[in-house]
Amino acid sequence: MYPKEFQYHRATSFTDLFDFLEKHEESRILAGGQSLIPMMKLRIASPRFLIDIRHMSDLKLIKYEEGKLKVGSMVTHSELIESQFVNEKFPLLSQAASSIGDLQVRTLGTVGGSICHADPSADYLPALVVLRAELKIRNRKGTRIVPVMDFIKGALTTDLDHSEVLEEVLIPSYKGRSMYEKFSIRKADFSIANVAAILDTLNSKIRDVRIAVGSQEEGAVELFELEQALNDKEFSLEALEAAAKEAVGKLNPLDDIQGSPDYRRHLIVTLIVRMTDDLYHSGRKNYD
Amino acid sequence: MTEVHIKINGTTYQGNVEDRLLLVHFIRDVAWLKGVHIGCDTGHCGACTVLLNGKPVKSCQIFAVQADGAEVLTVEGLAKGNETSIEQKAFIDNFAIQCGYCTSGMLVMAHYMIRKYPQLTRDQIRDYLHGNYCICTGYAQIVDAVEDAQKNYRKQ
Repeated sequence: MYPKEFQYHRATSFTDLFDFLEKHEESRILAGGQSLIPMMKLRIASPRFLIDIRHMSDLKLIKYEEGKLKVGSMVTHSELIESQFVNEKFPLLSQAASSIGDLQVRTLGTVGGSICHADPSADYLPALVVLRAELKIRNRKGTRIVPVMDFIKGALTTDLDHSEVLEEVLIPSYKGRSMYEKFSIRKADFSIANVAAILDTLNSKIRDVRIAVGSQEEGAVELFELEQALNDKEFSLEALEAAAKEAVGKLNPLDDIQGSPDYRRHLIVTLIVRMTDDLYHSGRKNYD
Repeated sequence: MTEVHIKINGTTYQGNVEDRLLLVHFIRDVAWLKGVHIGCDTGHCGACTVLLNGKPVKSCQIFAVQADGAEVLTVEGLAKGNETSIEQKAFIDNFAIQCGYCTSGMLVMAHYMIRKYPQLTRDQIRDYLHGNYCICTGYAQIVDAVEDAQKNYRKQ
């Protein structure tokens, strides 16, 4: 299988990139290509022009500035996982990245490509939601910052205009322990249920818990009601189960051959209960 | 059409190719190296795995034009002439090949893994190989072979 004919161009600068995108309406940015190329081979997507941004070194930086981790959009999943700083200070991000595809996919696939593709089951999405990530988007006029929840508009739909490029992902530091869990049949599959959680404790009470679930019709959803039910309280397994079931009952999980909404809700509740229990109890060990 | 130069196993191959030509087809049909295989064409099976600038990629998921100016290692580049590489010997010794279709991808992955990661456990070997499918062996002998290759590589 091979795609329809297209013309390939390598971007040498932002100006070059915007010139090209504006000139050719049927053009797409090519990042790692690990989502776009399979779609093109199946002819689900047939852009007539591809502009490769893999050689724009400005987009490959990982830095920590002004209290925020800044990840360039063309950082690959492998590069993120191999960053000692990210592993130590933002382990949730590298945990999510490690769940993506397989080693080969992670070599080429990029953080920015995954976010802009916005598959609702994407591993980064629930993690970025609980991390309160913001996205820095560049266009010809300058840059704009968009919170991740506002950027993802739905399945495969984002706030990115045709002649814009995602430049950086900005993530503030967080306190407490974090965890990302994904349920799938085979490791490299898209997730059937995935959950990201951050939890801190003060004395014996839960503090600043954040829980987001992926693989929903809308992409990733944060469970604010559940967080409110858990915050400032001691841990109670019964209360957690009840609150999780109620919150998850209101969700719209994807409905496809991998699982029905009811099955997915069941998985999500199980993951949330296990993860919160684990985060609370092992987090508390650090205070003893 | 674009003129591309790709260095494969130390030799530069040149071709005037369609932009939509996949790297796997460049390697097989322009460079005429048939070791890399197309198993599924949807990017799952990993039979097309090669090293691109030293890192593993599925060559059916990247266009030749993207690899212009890059260096590629295929199974043919693991050893010279009639020699067998450490990985190849380990696969033979551990009966890790039946039909051989997945083998070139598995060997390239093994070559990469034993150099990149210190002291791989069997679980880690399985983990890093989950982008490479094998229908024949049931994987156990392949894991044995990678473990064996790792041991022999460390001995050198």
